[in-house]
Amino acid sequence: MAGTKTNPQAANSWAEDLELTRRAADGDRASRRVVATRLMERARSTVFYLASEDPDAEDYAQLAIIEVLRSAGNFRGECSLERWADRIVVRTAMRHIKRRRWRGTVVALDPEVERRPQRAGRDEPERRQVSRRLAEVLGSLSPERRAVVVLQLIYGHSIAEIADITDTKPNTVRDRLRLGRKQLRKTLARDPLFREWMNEGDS
Amino acid sequence: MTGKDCRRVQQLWLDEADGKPLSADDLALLDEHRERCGFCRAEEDWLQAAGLDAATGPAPEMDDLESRRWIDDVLDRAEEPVAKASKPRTRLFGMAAAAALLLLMGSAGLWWILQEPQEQPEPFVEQEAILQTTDPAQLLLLSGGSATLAGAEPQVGDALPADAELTVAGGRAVVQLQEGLRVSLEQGSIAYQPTAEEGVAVTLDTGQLYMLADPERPGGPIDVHTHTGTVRITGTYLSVEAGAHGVAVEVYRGNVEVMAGDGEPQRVTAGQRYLIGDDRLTTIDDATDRESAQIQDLLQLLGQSRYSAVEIHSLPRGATVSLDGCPLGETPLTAHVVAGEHKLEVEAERHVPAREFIQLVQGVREVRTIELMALAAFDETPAAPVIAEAPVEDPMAAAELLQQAQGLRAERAWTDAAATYRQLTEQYPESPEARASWVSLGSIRLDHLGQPAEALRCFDTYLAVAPAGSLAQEASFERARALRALGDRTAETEAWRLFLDRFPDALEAPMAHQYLEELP
Repeated sequence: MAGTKTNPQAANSWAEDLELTRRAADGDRASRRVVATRLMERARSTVFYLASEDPDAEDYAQLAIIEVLRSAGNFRGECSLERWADRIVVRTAMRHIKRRRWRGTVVALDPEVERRPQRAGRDEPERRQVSRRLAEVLGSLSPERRAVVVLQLIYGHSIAEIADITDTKPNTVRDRLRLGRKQLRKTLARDPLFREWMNEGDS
Repeated sequence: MTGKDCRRVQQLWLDEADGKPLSADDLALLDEHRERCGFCRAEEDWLQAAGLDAATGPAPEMDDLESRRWIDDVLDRAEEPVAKASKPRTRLFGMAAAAALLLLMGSAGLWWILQEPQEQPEPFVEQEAILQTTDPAQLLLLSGGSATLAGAEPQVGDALPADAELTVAGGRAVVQLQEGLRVSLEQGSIAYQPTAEEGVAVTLDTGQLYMLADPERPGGPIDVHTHTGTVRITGTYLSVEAGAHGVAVEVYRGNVEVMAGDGEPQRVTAGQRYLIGDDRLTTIDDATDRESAQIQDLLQLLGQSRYSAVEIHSLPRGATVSLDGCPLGETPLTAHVVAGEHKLEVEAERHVPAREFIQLVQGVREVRTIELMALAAFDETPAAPVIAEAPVEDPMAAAELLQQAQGLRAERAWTDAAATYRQLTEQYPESPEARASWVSLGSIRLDHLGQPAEALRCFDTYLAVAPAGSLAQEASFERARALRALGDRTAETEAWRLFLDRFPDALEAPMAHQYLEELP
């Protein structure tokens, strides 16, 4: 995958991943369990960033892992299992998110998400609360921009990798990232919790 | 935040994402800007915090059990036909899509039916009853003691007919009366009857029941009738105990109304205990609250839609069984629980607890017989073997027990044979019969009870107490086989070499060579 630096230790680990996915592709349930367990949290995290307001987000995450398991035979060991799976997870989630948007479904906000997070110490932000709030803020972006912003700003993928994951041209990714981040900053500027955070940092 | 520096910094971040290396000046600018611009600094903090939390992100947290079930669900769905598993579960997508999906699932299902039989474990006879969870009422768990249903001995999965009396003595029975309504009968007897309002009337003669009623359940109100009054419930979790001293109601969640005689209904809310007729409300103590929480977990664990059955026996009987940390009751025990991986724990006083993960398959009965090692025997065995020279207490009794065990073994009554060998080793540990029993017990455990770890312990015990005994050759060979069953390749290799060194001319030597060659 473009943008991925290889070192011998990582390559060795990818070879083990290759063996693991081979067994999973052959239907070995224990190997499938290992793959699913390893990818579960990352997939859930990605999907909830992309579709936190969607009541079916958990289901999308499961469908994404099912797709990963069904595609296990295609893993070539050229990058880590996580990086390879990101592509499938994002594409699967986006497919369902777009269908949901097309049907014009009205989604209800989870009261838990509505609750305003409490600030922790300045040096140790409450990561989970920040994540949830950020997911809400990201909800103001279109699914396409949101995907690019999440993959770059939170997961650290390069533009080339994001282009590969989302099956889009790098220039399109670049534009979506620039515009998405600009929109994100505008939304953050209006967010009371973020402003509180910022003001406390200044004081 | 929209100043020139901010725009420049945004461009640098974009360049970095594009794989362009940043110069020393660029990096210095980023540092300087971070110090000066509160907005960019706060934004970076947030993104960094979210990045550090990327493993879980904004997704709701799950505990170990929920995670395992999530994974089980994924694995099950991944094995379903493609069209079925790939659809979100909550809706269908228009009539045309539904029709197409049905057609596709029909053909995929036919393919699946043709493909699956070789791979699926054989379903047990209760499968139909297990899958029928809402109507009629059904027994979900029986543990310890004895139970009768309409005068006969019930089985888990049996329907509970209206008006039939279910009695439990010294154990526990869990019943699902309706969807979202489960009762754990700890002791005593109950009968139930559907009411005209689509609710349920439960009569508790004696004993104690815990009732968990889902507020969202489709049925009407629930009444628990006792000899001194009626408890009316809509959606809550409570216990009712009917004894000689009167009837006590404890409410753990929600609230209930208690009606006794012609008086006004007494409202009892969460955290309160009410003794009917006493008119006093007291607070539930912590110990009671903890116990009720455990039973609530149990009721929820059993009240799932995709069941498998687990049957647990133990030696000794009466051991406490927990599944996923939730106490189910005492052995012998049968329960219907959700399919998937569960942590099973079996404990008895003065015995070493047994813990293992079990994989329960939907519609399949898992039967486990667990022999708990007595603490004294366990402690003595590997550490300080003593070959007794002194006469045993009752050599005739030891010989009789051995004969009995051998008879059971000949009848292929493996569990009973193992129990008898075990009894012999515990009651007459220093007898020659007991020493010989370790090898027989180990072989049964290895070949018929699926307990290679316990079998290994038996062979080790024999070899420790009688290293040059007449069964040493057999014990050494079986020991290597136990290690093979456990998948410990290094130890297995060593065991085969040891066996061949000691018994190069044994009949089993060629087989040992063959096993050794197969090892890496």
